[in-house]
Amino acid sequence: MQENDQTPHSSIQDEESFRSAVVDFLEENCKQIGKSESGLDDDPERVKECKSFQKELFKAGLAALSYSKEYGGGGLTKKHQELFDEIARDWRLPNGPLYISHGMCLPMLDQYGTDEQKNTFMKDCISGEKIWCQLFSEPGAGSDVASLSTRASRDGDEWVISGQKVWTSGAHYADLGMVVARTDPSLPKHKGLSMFIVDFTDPTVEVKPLKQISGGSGFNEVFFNETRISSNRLLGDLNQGWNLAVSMLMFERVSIGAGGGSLTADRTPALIELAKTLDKNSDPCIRQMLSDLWIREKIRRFIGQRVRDSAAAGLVPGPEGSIAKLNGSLLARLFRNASMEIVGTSGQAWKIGDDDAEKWAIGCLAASGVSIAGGTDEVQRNIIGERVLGLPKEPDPFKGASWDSVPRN
Amino acid sequence: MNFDLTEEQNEIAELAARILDDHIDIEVLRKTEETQDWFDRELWEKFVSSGLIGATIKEDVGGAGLDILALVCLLRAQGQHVAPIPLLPTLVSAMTVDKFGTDDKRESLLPEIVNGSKLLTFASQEFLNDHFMEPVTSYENGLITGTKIVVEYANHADSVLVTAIDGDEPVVCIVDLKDPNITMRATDSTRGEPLWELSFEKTAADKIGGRESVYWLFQILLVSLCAVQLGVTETALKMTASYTSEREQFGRPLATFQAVTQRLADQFINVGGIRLTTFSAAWRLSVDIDALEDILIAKWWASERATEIAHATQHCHGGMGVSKDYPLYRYTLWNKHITTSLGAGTQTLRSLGSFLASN
Repeated sequence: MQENDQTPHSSIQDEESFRSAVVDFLEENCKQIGKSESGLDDDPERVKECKSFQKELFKAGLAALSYSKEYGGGGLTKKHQELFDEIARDWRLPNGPLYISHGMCLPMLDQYGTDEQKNTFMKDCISGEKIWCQLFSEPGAGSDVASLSTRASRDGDEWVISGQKVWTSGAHYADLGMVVARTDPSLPKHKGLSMFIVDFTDPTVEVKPLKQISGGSGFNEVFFNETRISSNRLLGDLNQGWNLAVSMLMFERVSIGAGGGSLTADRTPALIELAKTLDKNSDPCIRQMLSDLWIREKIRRFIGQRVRDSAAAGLVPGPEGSIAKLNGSLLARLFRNASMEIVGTSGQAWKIGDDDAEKWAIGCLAASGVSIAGGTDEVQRNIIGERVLGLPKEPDPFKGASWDSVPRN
Repeated sequence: MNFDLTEEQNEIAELAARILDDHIDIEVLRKTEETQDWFDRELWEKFVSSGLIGATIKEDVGGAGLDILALVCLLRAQGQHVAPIPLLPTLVSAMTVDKFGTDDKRESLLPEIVNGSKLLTFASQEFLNDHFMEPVTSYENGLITGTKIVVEYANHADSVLVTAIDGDEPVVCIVDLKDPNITMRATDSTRGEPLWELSFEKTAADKIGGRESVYWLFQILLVSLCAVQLGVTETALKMTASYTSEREQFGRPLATFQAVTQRLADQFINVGGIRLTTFSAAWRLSVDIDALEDILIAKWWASERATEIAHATQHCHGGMGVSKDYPLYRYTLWNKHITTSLGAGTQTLRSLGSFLASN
């Protein structure tokens, strides 16, 4: 079913030996560990499984391939990582809970961290010893995330953080978080923000899981009650938080829309299998839906390829991440519709404990979250309009106004 | 032509809305959901005592003799409030017995439905069988054998209407749920209530009617699902309009962004489409004009377009749409439940296609 050899990897000198090392590892570790797809994100077993898998990956020298060996990476190239992701597509890697750690926080540490921060944090992040989360959204700051009001005030050699975040994925099992907070309210909203590294074991950090429509609790509310952190936990420069946040969101969009992980794995083959099992594979309408999805997933791969290639060429992800994310969100909805058509009543009710049927039903409910997380479809379309097509920006009556003078709820 | 509802139909709709408005709030819904039983008995008693359960049953057996449009009004009100009571299964089954049952059957059963001492449900769906008129469950010499799925409230109902095949004729029969020759298994469902799988093994069954009754049950079920969906989508859209009017981002209400306004305007048209097609289908059915084409069109709107509404209303609520702390999610779950009941959009189009091709 899978076609793994679409891209020549001539730039990888050791391609053959590398490929066989990856395949050996996956065969050894994913057969026993795999098949975890149906679990919910908040399942503590899943986090444990993820950590032990990542530890093995790290020990085998196959974790974070393109990052420097000095900080725990594989010391290889982005091409190696890409090849790894391609090969790994045929396996179920139980590394879902690390998607933010590795898709967003790790590249940020690598790009903006001081040597001290890199030494302190990167190795544990790569080995899965510590799991990270990121904290942008607030009850009053969703699409308009730059208007956020969590405060970080300087007190001697420390920063004191107070405020509330929301929709924080994985905060309930995270050890550390990257938090965007307002360091200067007298500056315009985009200019007075900074990014901080916060230890989640601190008792002043309070995490409350939110119950979701799908039955899971992957998101959380996070409260910082005068959390004190040392000044060396500032990531990047003071009041440069927005630039960091934008590049982190780009990493996120790339990760959701184009990364090699489970979010972007081709799902049509599983749906084709399902149609066969339920004897619906000769139905012309179903066949048409499946073909359509097959084509779109193929296109997604091409988009992903472009995004990853430009990353491999050393470029910071740009607005193409928005294209990948928007496409991923559209695909999630089409996939939902097709899967519900195929499962029929099994998507409505299923035998208690029938994980397979439940997986389809929950997948269906989870699809609409994809068009919100990491910037809504509308936000992506605005970015594409302004930064790809070069259309004029929507007039902003508050442009240049200090954050504390702008109304918000 | 006068498309207005009659005075009686309006009164029924208003009465139901008043009872539901008074009774239902988030705490009441939560409490009912926590019992895993999904049955708000207090609300049911109120429906019974105000005569709503008997509204669409004929007068000689204790009802008020109103028609299918009144049924649509009641179910729409239920959908608007996502009220967890067995309204659809009981009313649809009772009306089927009322229309096709013998006088003996009607007189012995229906007064007890009207006064709330008994509940009915129906069992029509079978695993991997999309053909309502061709059940696999067999009926022979007063005994049925076969398995039915996604049966609502089977644990509370006293009797169940079952579709089965008698030789080559589909039939509707009625079965006592206390019969030991029935195996009941609860299944999980997306809306959260238990749905039941019923296996009959030579279970005693009384025939209610033949092909015509199965066809009628099919039609009234579809119209009823559309009516609930109408209420569900109306409220979901109303909630979204008020949420986006109050929620501010970039210094102004979300509803002032054209991407939001236009998307919600499209949903208004979608809800309007469900309303018009549902009432048209219900009216035809109520005056015994062949209604299949209109019913399938209505079900398409109540599936395909309702999915659009579910996604738009959820999406415009941002994260609140997926949170269980905000009431919208129930509407999404009900929406999805109805969308997939008796076949989603494509299956409906397929049935409509074969209907059009053969007429």
